[in-house]
Amino acid sequence: MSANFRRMVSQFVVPALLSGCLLSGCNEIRHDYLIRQHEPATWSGGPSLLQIDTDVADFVSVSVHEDPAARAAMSQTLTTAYQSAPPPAGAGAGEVAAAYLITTYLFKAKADSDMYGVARDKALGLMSAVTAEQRQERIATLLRDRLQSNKAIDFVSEAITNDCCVTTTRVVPQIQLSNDLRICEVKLNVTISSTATGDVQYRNSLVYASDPASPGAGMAYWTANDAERFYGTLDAAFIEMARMLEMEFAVDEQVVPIRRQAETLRYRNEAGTFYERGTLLWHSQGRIVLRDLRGNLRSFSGELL
Amino acid sequence: MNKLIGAAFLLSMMVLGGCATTPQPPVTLAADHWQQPGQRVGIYVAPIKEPEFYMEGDVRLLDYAINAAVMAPVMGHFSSLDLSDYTTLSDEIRQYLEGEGVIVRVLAEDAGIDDAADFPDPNKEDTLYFADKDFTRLKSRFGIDQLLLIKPKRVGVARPYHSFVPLSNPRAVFELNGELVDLNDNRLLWFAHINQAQHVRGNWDEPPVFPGLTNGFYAALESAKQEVHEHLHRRMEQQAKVEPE
Repeated sequence: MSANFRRMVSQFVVPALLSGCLLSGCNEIRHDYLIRQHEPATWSGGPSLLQIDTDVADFVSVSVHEDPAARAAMSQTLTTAYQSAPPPAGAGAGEVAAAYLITTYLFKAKADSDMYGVARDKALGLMSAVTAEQRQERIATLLRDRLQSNKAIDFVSEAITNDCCVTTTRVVPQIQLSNDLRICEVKLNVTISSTATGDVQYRNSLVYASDPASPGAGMAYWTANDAERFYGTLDAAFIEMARMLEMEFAVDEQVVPIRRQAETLRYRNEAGTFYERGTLLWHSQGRIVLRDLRGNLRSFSGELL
Repeated sequence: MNKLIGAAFLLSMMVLGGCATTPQPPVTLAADHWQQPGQRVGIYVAPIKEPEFYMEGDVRLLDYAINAAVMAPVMGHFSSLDLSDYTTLSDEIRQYLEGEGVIVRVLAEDAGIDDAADFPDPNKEDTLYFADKDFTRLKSRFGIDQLLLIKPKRVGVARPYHSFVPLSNPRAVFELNGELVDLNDNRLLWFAHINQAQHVRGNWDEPPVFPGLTNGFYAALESAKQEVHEHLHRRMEQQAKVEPE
């Protein structure tokens, strides 16, 4: 290592590393907030098995908030920093490039860490409302009951079993609050596969977005009274998702898509006006259901404009 | 050698000159503008050739090539997107203006809008603003008093970089300039820079059709269109606010 490179490292990289560590507290970007050691619960439902797995990374989280202006400004800050402290005379092009890249990546890592750190801190309240035990008992039982009492799984297994085989339906719930904590989004990843061979017959995600809370309601809105609103939202989500699953496999006039072409839907709810592109499946009583561009089924609160 | 120096000087002056350009300040449409009877307005919504990729931050020539190559699959998909939602904007504005009693003429691409000569502002110190092109000859050619012009500025995908290191995920952008020009004197009756952007919810890198970015693009497009309508419908909104009192 040349003397020039050592000087450059001390000039660029070490200060950046130190400042990055100090400012971020050496934060590691983590997505799995809860303990992950258990077997998925499995219930027999006639010819089909229902398997509910709450053992996933990001089971509970708060969405991150990107600030494009801050990111663009970071590039300018880096340029200014490099210009104000040019590489020492005699430094090789490779050395300059290495120092340049390392410093840039450190700045980026610091910005990512800050962004995810804020979201992680916000998720703390939700994590206390959804402990690992509650995921096992309360949420999984609620989900199983809603899917089975609405006969969604029977419906699904009947539709697929006729064509294929005895199936296992694996559902994986995930919960995410919007960054302003006003909307709770419940996602259900559904995989139906042959019990014998494991061949996947169907895979999709169902997403339910709650009615928005009042502005500034904060985490207390979801966690008050033993998280009554939060679990109420989960219950409403699971009921809606059972209906969405039925719709996915039913050949019924009532569930024929309202429009067959993808379009940009404009809708309004208490949180504002939003746009979503997809195929409108139904809308009634302040709820809109569409198939988005990923093919996922989404249910959200609002009135079409 | 002299030619080379001259070209370098010219290039640097152009770059510096570009930096010195002052953006047009917004001009608010008068609340009672559409109430004046017998107005004849030509509408021209400039076409979008193809959504583009915009690199933000400190990007040099070699970085540009690397970044463009990395994003080529995204832009390949974006070049195939249906832009009919944008092209309907002129019809939507026409319907609204005709409802207000305005005589409307939708101008085609061969109307000569893009070929108009530059129009220097006679006094850059005052707050009377003019279109940067001379559109006054359209008055007699098409029998219109005003030109409503929608010009796309940045349409596609933007991403901040430092060199070839991406500093963030790409986002969909849809930026327009909207202006209403008085064809008697080329004065701006309305000017707005409309800037809509959408981040992807969840993962963005989903080839081959990039549904998250595509959804964001259409959401930004609709938001931009909606903002145009809000600017032009201002009188209606203000009246609606007054009515409950």
